[in-house]
Amino acid sequence: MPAVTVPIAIDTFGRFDRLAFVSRRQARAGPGGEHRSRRRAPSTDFVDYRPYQPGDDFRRVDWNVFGRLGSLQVKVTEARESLDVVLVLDCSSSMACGQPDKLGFATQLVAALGYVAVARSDVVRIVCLTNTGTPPWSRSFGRRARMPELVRQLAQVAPAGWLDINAGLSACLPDGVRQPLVLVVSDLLTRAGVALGLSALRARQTDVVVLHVVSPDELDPRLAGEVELVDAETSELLEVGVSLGTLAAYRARLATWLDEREAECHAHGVRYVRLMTDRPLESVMLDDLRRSAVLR
Amino acid sequence: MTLLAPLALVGLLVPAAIYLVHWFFGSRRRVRVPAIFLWADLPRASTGRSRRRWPPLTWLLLLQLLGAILAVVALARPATPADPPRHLALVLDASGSMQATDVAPSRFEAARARGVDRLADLRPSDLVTLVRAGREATVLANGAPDGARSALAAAQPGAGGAAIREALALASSQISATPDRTGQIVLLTDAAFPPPDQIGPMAAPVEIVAVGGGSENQAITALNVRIDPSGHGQTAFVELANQADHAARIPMQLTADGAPLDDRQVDVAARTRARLSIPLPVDARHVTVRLLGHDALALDDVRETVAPGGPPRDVLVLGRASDSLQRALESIPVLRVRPPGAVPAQGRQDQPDLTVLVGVLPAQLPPGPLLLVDPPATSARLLGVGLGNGARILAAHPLLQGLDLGALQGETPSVGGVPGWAHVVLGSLQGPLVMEGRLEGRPVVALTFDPAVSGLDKSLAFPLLISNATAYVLAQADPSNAATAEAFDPAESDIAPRPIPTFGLVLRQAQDERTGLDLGASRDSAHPELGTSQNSAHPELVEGWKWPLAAALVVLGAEWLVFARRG
Repeated sequence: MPAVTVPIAIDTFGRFDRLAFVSRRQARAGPGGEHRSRRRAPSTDFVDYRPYQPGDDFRRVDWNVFGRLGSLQVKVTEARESLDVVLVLDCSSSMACGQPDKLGFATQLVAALGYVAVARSDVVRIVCLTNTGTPPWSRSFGRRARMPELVRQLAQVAPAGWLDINAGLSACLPDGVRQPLVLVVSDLLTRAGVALGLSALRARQTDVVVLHVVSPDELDPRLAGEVELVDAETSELLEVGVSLGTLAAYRARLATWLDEREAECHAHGVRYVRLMTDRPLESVMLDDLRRSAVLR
Repeated sequence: MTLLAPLALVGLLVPAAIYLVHWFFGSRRRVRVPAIFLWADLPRASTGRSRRRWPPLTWLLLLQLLGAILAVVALARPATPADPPRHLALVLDASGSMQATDVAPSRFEAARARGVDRLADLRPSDLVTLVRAGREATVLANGAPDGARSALAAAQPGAGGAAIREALALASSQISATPDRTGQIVLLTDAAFPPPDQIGPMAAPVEIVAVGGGSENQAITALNVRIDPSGHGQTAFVELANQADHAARIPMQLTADGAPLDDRQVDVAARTRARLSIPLPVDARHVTVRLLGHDALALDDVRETVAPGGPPRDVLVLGRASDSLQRALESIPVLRVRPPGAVPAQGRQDQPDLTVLVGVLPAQLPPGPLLLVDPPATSARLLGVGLGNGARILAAHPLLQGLDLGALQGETPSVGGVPGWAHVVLGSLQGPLVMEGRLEGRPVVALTFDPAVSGLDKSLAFPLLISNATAYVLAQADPSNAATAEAFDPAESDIAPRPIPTFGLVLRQAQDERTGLDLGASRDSAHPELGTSQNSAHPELVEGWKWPLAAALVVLGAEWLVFARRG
């Protein structure tokens, strides 16, 4: 399958500078980030006082309090940590369908989300789910200077045929990430659903967000007459005579299937956001994802 | 709806061919879908590669079939029968009996309401002729329904008879003038008139709408005052008629010059008449008889007349008067015949009260009332302009009171038609014999025969006829009588409906809802060959091929759009 050359306009990402991820878990990727942490560490964010104990840094003693109360009190400050962000991109062949195609849209979305993470000094990893068994996770991107490299890697993403998305999700987290925010960008097209994969992710102390990519062509297929349907992942054939009744039944079935996927995510404590590929990226980032509290 | 080119329906094979093309040659496109499991086992989504599978119902196929069918329909030239413009002739019976109040408020108002209902069904493009059948048939309106509506609202009933035959003929002639319209004649009447003569083929079917139907009426059918032979008194002859189906006691009052002279109850059997003689003083002038009871028709409950009593009247006789005529005039006590040659100059005060013209009719008529005896048939004033020859007998008319009509009917009329100013009182098939009317503003009685030819002037009927004529024409000249718009015809006191004649055509009769009056449905089948309207030509057809053709073009455009969008 040829690589999909995705035009990613990184120079337009500047309008996402003020965005930040909202995570339900504490950031544990180490100091230097902008997310609050339970750890106390020297910083400018005052939290509380506590009595001096031997070994404390004299520089943190509040001498004004000592002069007023006669007891040594040490200022306690809150640490700021960076967030581990894992962007999981479904690279199955079904993502290459649709108009606009879902994979191109998803790639741009992942690039924009990576930019937001990098801009907030978070640690970003991009995982492309393919049918090669072990998902190829990238190196972490922690600095804005590495954005071009991130974009370059995404631009080489190619659809990879059939994919067991549950297996991919179960193995998508690299070692060393701690309480990461995992954003799964996928069309979720699998007969068995994604319950297994989501369960495996939740077991890793993660905060999971499913960004379900749907093409308008899927909602309202323009088919008529005798057609031979080819499955984009399995190349399975199905000959059908598409009538008006057939289209109506398909729409009803698709609506049910979409509702089932959303319910499945909610049942596993996973945030679910459905994104249409004909929406501009700017609207998705600034409106859709902020409205669904994925970004702020 | 009909098809002007039904052979074009063979073109319905084209849609069938389109379906077969879809069946046999429908291409099967390969479409890549993200997941095939969403398409599996959908209803009507058949599987397999059999060529015998019916083509699925798609927008493309539907639009092609619809477009082809519409085009074929357009080629077949569908047409619908157009509703042609109508010409409705309303004949409104304006006889005296239509003033009967047995239906509220009156028969005439009920007929007017029926007429308004008929006009409400018409379109502005329709034509309406409103004919008033009074003593004469007159066209009140001929044009759009709005004009006829206002004319109908302004129409008034008369006191005389109804010239039904003439009105129908007039309506028929008006309808025949518009052969491009569907004609219909509606006669609004109470059917209280004697059977008229046959009228022949009509230009349109006649529908008779009946109103009223009762006969509860008592009437004064005659009032005459004669001077007693002694010259010292007068006698009023009163005739009362009970038209009801039961005996009635009729309260009657007679007044002379406003003073009551007689007040009595008169018993009259059902459907009969009673005649009374009541002495009057010699100087009584205006005599009035009233019925004090209440019946359906108030018009005939009062009768007035001018008694011949009073000062003698001057009579001037011009022309070749016979001795018998001279003697008849001189024998009338209230008349003073001027000697021959005493012709007054124009404008002088001693003008005669009555001028008798015998065999002459000068170009300039003398002033005052006229009695014409055997007038010249060549006079333009006597040219017949009315319908028919005036063959009728108004036996109750004052001119014929007390006369043996058999003797009169044998006379030979000197004129062949009815002049426009005259009403025929007695006439035969050859022409009118006794006429009355107003000629150039003068009351005129015309005896259009020479009494000397048949020897009538030797009989006793002659002086009585002259007496009636002079009394009548002098009474008409009286200002009090002249104020009366239309004299009541005693025949109108019989308000009971009579069987409707066929008029030589098929009648469609409406049964009165309130009275249940049945006007003889058996006549409906009479002369069916004449019932066909001359205006009932083949209805026009309006072709409607443009609409299906436009729809076909629209559908084909939509089909092209679908094809362009989906390939």
